[in-house]
Amino acid sequence: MTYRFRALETFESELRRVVEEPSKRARRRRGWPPTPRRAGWGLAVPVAGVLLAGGTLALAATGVILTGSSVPAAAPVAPSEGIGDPVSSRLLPLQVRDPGGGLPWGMRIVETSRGLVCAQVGRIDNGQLGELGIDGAFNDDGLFHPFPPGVVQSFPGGSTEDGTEIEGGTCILAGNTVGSSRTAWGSAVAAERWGVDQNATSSRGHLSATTSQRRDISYGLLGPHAVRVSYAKTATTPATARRCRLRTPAHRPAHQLLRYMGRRQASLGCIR
Amino acid sequence: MADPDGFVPFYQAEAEAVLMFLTRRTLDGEVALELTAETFAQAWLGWPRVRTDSAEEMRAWLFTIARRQLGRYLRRGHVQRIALRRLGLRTPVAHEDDLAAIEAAAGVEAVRPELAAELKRLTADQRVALQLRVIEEMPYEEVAARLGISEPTARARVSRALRAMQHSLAATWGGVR
Repeated sequence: MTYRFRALETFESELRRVVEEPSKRARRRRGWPPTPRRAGWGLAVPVAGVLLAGGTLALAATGVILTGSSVPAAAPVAPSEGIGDPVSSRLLPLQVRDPGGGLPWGMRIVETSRGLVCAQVGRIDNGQLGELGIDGAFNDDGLFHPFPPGVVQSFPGGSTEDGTEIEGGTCILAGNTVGSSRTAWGSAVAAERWGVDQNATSSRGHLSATTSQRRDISYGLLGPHAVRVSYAKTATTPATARRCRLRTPAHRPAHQLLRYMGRRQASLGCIR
Repeated sequence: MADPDGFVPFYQAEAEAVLMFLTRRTLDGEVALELTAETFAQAWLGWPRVRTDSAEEMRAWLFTIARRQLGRYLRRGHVQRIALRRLGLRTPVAHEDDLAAIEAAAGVEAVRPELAAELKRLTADQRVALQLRVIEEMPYEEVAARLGISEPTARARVSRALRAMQHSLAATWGGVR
C-alpha cells in the first residue's frame, strides 16, 4: 500500500503491531478485546438524571463494553393500530452520565407508521441505544444489548394517576399517549421513569427496586423554544400534572419546571 | 463481529479520507494526524462490536468516531490520546514536508490566514454557532439544543457568521466540505 503521506504509512506499521499480535493474551493486555465492564451500582443515595431535549446537558464519555444480543420486541406491532410500526429512529446527541459510572444514558426519537413520535430512553454505546445485562436482565451477562430500529420500548410500565395501566413498550409521545383515552397536551411532553434499565428485574416491579439501584430519569420532548429546566427534589406534584393526568408516582420526590421563550412555563408534562 | 484481519485494509482504504476530513476542520495537519491516529485506535477498540459488512456503514461508523474526536478536541483544545495510550500506540510524527503536503492536499494553507482573521471578527455567539454547524456538522436543531436557543435563532447566527466570512470563504474554499 502506497500512501501520499508518509505519516500514515508509519502509523499503519504501528497499527499492525497491535492488530496482528498473534497471542490472545497479549491482545487482552493491550486492551483487545475489551473486558466487559459493569456499571457501578453501589450508590448509597437515590440519584437523579435529567434528559430533556432543549436543555443544556453535559456530554459523557462512552464506555467500552461488549455487545450482546439485541433487545427483543415487547409485542408485535401492526402498522395501522396502536402506535403503529416504527419506521425510523434518530439518536439524539444528548447524553447524561450515570452517577455510578459505566455507559451514559441517552434518548432517541422514533417515528411510527401512524405519524407518531416517540421518545425512547436507554444506555448509549458506540452510537447505539440499548440496555445493560445487569440486575436480572439478560441473565446478568454484563453485555450491552442494543435496541433495534424496529423496537419501541420507552416506558417500563406502571399506572397513571387515574389508575390507567401503561404497559411496557408504550410509547411516550410528543402530544399524546396511545393506549389511553387522554387528549393531546400540546407540542411538548415530559415524563419520568423510576427504576433501572427497563428489562432489569428490579424495574419490572418498580417499587421493589432497592435504594442503591434507584435512578430517577426525567426526559421529554420540549421543543426548540425551551430555555431552562429546573429540577427540585422537595416540590409537591404540580396541579397541572394532575389535570393532565400524567403518570405521577406517589413516591416521586422531585418535579421539573420548564421555562420557555416568551416566559411560558410548564411543569411535569403539561404546557400552560 | 468484524474480522480482525480486515482492520488494516480498512485503515488503508479510509485513512487518507479521515485525515483530509480532520485537516479541513482543524486547519492543522499535525493535529489532524493525531486525531486520525486516535480515531483508528478507537475504531480498533470498537472493531469487535462491528456487525456489518457494508463498506458504507463502516465508513459512516468511522466518521462518527472521527467527529467525536474532533468535537472533544474543539471543546478541550488538545487531542485526547485515550485509545492510543491504551493500545500502546505511538502517535505518528510527521516531517515538515509531509505536513505541508497534507495541508496542501486539504487546501488549508490558502484559507487559514483569512479564516482566522474572519473568525476573530465574529461575536462569540456567532463563532460558537458556526463551529457547531460547520465544523461539527450538527443539524440546526442540535445546534439550537446545544446552545439553548431556538432553531431560527441558531440559523440566524450561523447565517450572519457565514455572511460575515463570505468574502474569504468564497475566494478560497468554495464548496469544499
